[in-house]
Amino acid sequence: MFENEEEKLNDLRKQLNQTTIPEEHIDGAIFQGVERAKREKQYMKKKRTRGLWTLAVSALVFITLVTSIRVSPAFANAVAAIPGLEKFVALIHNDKGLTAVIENDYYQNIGVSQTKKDMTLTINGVILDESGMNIFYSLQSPQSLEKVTVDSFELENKEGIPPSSYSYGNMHDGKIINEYNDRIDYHFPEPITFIDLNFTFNIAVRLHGEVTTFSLPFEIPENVKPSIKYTLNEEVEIESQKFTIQEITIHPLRVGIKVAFDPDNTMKILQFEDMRLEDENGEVWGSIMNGTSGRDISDTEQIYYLQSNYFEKPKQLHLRINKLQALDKSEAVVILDTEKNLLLNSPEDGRLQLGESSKSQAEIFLTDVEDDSHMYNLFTTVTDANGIVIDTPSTSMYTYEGEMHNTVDFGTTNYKNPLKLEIFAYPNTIEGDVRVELKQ
Amino acid sequence: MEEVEYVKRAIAGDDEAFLFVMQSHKEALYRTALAFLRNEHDAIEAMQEVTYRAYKKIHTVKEPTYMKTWITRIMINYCQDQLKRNKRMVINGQLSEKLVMNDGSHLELAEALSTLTEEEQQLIYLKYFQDVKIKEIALMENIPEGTVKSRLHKIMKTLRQHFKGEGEVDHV
Repeated sequence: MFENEEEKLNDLRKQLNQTTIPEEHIDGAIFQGVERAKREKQYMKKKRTRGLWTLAVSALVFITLVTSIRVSPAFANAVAAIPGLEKFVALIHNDKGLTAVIENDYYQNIGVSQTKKDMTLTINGVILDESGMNIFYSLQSPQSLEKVTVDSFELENKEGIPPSSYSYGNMHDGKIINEYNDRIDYHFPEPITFIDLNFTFNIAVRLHGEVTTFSLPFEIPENVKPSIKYTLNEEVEIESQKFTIQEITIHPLRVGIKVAFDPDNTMKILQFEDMRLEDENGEVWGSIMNGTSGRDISDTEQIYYLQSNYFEKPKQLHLRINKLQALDKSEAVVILDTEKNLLLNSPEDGRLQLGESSKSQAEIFLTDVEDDSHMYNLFTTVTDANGIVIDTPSTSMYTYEGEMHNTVDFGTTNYKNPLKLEIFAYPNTIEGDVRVELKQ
Repeated sequence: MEEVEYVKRAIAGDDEAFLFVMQSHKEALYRTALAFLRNEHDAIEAMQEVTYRAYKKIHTVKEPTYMKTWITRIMINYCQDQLKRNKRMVINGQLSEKLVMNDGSHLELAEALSTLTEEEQQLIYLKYFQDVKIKEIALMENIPEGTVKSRLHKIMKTLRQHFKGEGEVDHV
């Protein structure tokens, strides 16, 4: 009866099916969609003022369906020797320092549990050094733990734990739904050695609206291995921008590099793109992936973290830096009015543009971006016209065809425009060759 | 492994199975996005957002065999939201330009489709562009097959009227 119309519909359908599809970009979009959903599950609220900032590194990689993770025999043996550790392999293997920690017997088995109703929390083990503590824990239950989330957690010690924490987030193994494994990294602001090794770990988890709290006291068997500190105070320069490498401390868990920027610099240095340690064989230790990559100490001082080579004991170590992200100080802050949808200040190259905005959300575009460049958050602190800091609970971003889209959600609409957003990263680089030898 | 096995695992929370499922439907989804949004850029963005939404809600899927329909619906809903938000004319965009170049009548059809309600557009889309059987649509919507058929019938009449122009009487 409606053959004519149906024929037209089928023709249109054929037309639509003839266009070629940009497969790589679609794959990338799918990847990013999943990553965004997973990230939302994982991250606790981060304070982006003075304090920790995270480097979320992700390239547009097509995920294969192969599950195997290539590990060294030494690592595989070490993992096999520690009961329960195989669950955490995925959380360890891509960090050279952590892998070395395991291989060098620096992981301390704890194995204490607490059961509340039908949930059991176990602290499998910890890694403790002067810079922090990594706690590996599991939750088990006869019911499905797929939707479990962590509400809050706290570490206690008689000597006091200074404020700093960050949760790694679990690798959700879809096959095992009755278990939830995670690693929480405590990251101390200053190196600490505890005398009393008795701690208590408190955690509140939420499943189907119900919250269960656990409180587990545990004792760490061995105290920390001493960290190796190099006091250098060497001033270096890249394209006339000066900064001083003050000290480098090598802990088992991470390497901390304290840098002070010359206040007279004309540019604000944003990110070190390739800061690394190199030994005499050319082996490289780069920045921490998917973790805390740095910390503000003050307006001009920062600590950057790299993966650790504590257990390698190389003969010679050099700190190398070639590429920096930097902007003229006047351009390093974005000022915008979300209600009037106006971009009042931004980097002069004009690549940063404002899309749609409202009091609750702003869309920022960055043009001329390499598709496979690292994805950093564009901004850190956001302040309003009254100088009040605005929380930005979530940001979503993706890169497509050379354009990066960054959607910033504001935690409140109760603020006064215009807003100031401090730029955290920007693809404007200055280059040089910095080479500092680590000598005591 | 059979496709429905992957779907079941994806529903249970297996990330790799989820990716496999997305891979097997990505082309159809992309073309859906392209059909509604009319340009590549928006269609890519749609792929990301729909993957995100599907990932978050996949545990709610009751019937693994209807995965394609379920996920197509998410795409269509997203696209319709976008169109409302951006107040775009369905006619504009690269794709319709291509259509115009090849055959003017398709433009007319696209225009006719845009006059339908959202539910009607969804229905046409599922039936004619994604080949979803009436029986499946009925099950998904939880309505009798007869109702689906009469809705389609009504839509066809609307389309016919659009092509014929107003004032003509339809005797078929």
